[in-house]
Amino acid sequence: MSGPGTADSVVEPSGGRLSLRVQTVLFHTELATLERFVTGISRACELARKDGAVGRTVLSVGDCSPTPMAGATDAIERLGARGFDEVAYVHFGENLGHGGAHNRLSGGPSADLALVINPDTYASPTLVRELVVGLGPDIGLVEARQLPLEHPKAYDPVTGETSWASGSCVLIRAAVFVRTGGFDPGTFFMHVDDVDLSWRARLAGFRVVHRPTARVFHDKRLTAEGTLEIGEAEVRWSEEARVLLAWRYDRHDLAMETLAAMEAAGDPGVRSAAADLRSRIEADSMPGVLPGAATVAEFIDGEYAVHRFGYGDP
Amino acid sequence: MSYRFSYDEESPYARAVELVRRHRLGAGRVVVDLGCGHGAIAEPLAELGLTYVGLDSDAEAISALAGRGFEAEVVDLAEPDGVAEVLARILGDRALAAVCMLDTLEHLAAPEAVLRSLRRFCAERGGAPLVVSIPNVTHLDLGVKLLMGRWDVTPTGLLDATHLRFFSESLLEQTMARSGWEHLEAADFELVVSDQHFPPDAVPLDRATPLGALLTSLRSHSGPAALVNQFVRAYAPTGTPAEGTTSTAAADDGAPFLSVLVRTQGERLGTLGETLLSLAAQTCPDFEVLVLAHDTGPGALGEIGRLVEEFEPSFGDRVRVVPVEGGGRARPFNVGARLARGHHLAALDDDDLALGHWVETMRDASAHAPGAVVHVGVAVQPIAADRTDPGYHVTGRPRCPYPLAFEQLDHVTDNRTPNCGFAVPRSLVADMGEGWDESLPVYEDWEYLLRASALCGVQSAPSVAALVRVWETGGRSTTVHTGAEWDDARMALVARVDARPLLLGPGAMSRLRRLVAAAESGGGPAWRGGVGEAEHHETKRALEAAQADLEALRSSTSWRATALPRALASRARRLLGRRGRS
Repeated sequence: MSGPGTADSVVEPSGGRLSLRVQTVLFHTELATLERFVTGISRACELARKDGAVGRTVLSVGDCSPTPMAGATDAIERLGARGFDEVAYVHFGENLGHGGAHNRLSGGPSADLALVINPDTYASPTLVRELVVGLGPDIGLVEARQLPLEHPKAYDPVTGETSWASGSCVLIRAAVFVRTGGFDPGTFFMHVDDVDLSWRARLAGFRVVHRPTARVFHDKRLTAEGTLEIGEAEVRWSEEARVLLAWRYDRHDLAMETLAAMEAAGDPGVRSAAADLRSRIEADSMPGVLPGAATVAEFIDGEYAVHRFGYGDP
Repeated sequence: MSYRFSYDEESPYARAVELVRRHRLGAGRVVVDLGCGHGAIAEPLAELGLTYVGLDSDAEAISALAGRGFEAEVVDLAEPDGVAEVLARILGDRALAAVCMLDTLEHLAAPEAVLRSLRRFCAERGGAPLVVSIPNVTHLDLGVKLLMGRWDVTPTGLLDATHLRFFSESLLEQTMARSGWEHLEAADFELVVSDQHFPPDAVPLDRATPLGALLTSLRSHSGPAALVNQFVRAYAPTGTPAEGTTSTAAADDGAPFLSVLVRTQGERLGTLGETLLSLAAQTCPDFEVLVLAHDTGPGALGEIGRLVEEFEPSFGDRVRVVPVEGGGRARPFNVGARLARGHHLAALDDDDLALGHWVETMRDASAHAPGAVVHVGVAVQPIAADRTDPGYHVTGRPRCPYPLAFEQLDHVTDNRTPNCGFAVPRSLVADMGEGWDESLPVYEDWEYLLRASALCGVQSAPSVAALVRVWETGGRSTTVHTGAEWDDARMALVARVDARPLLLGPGAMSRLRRLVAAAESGGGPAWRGGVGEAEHHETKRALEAAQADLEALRSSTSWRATALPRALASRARRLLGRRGRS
């Protein structure tokens, strides 16, 4: 699954252990959720430092909510004390989107590695150690295994190689940010920015792996039918992102197919998004096709990888 | 007054004499019988070669006893210090063998004072034991009569008109401990039908009626001594009296809402770690965890301990690892329940996963009905064993085959709620003695839910809050094995539940009417008829086979859901000779 480029330019930092920046983005997040997150990840960093898996650790929390979270700084200072050399809470004052906020945070204190992770998670005690151990020389992104509801993406049982890594919990080399420019919030505001970053990293010669032993609890819920709970707003954004991703990775056929389905949808929000996309196509303002896109992109049964199962399976 | 009861081989007196024989000081010869009445045990003790001394406040009884050739003296037991003085004087330099107080303590306004005085005396006399016999006011008959609004005081018996104090087993033991006496042995005297078993035609007292059978069953489970008429027990004097414990347990104000009982055999540390992770990540921290390491051996026990220690303290400090030895599938849960502090008890296996709101959902539901079983939705996900580090991989999406709302009658044909889908009030175990049935090798969760839901009712929270994983290793799913073997196990469970009346919750009549009407319209005569001879025979045969099957499984060390179907299939075939059936 490696892309056409090479990762020769990836150089391990000289002297000492890899430094790590854990970065998470809040949006209308509750204080209790943040507290749970910091409690878990702080322990995972504490153990990883103790084992020598990482050196200096930093926690960067960015908030895209309209108003700053009361008690956030106190919570991360108090609960992150044992796991982090430095913690910081930043209120952005605007909604930068998932990728935009993470790009902003990655411009903070420099580190060899970034752990991009959702705040509605709780790290297993060995999460950081396992992710770092899984970071082979040409590997750019190491994805954790989410519990209790696993991501259904397929991965090579021996190498762990996979099409893309979920931004819910992924360890990323700083070099990946440097070589790819990080997430692309201009194109993908909320959804598939992780797919896009993974594929661009592969185009730059990095491998993307899933590491089953790196466990993270991601607080997802199930409907009475056993499907994943998805908010109504998410449907609109994810459908729009589908079209944009297919366009960028040289599958205009799929993009137009998806757009037609959106235009026929009952949901007014989805239809409105479709109209916007149609205008952009007509104005020739869609994202440009990436060179070599076909070598990394996987569009299979409506997904971006082979899936072992689907939450919507009959 | 004193009583003129005769000595009988099967009587509290005979039990008391036996306790004296077993526990008396070897060097002593004298047995002092405080509150001796007419001295029912005088001759039997003399036959043992002991010197009997009877003391009582009833001058007439003392005179009669002296007339039978026994040493006897009038003593006022209401004067505790006086008692010790009298004893010292009577005994002189003779060695004391034992002291008896039969049917006496309950007649004293302050038995503790006499017991303390006696403890000092016996401790100074080489540690001579005390044998007591005391009526049990928690006898089943008295409990049932209270429900009838009756408290019948009688000239003699359990509710003797002259009784000043009333003892349950725990109150007796507390009184003795507080007075400085250590329990040696119980030889309690039981009466299935006590002197309080009247009026004879009272329906609740008739244990053949469903009401009587239910009350009997409840009382039998809820605590010891349901049929004990007299507590007959021996005690040794301790160096110092125990510090004053209160007679009723104080409420545990710091108790969490939930105690999570996680059962493991220590063979799948990967999935156990995930179960613990799912608990550490709960939105509501109002719970404790007991990891019940069942027959794991010291190596695995150490590994489980290390697994727990890796978690941060705000969770790790709420987890206890408890080794459990022996017993079947249900043993760990019962051991955990005894150690638990939570208001409710939930059971997990070491491959179950809680969703983030599992505890929160149950606690919220419980707030509406604190005494009820709490029920949440459960999803089922297939996984397959492999040689990777987690030891498995997911093979399909979660599905929700069970109804989100609990229906008691839905559970009579099959179990529709896995372990992780319900939590029972701990009082059910602590106060009512209704724990998991350890004699069932499989379906113990189903049987327990049937029993608990009948007694407590159920409060359902319509939310999927836990994930059960079904192992599909080797392509043989559990569903493949729900054939004759599981049918037999199911029948054993039905027989177990049938053994006592089953309470149905409100609304059951309407549901039953619909079910019966539907069966009548489509079922025909087979549905309506009673059990025919042939059917009865078939049922009996199946039950015998099921019992043999269950016995074999009981000896199996494996209780894991994945292993059971295979074990059932092969063992049952071997044992039952049903090679042609599968």
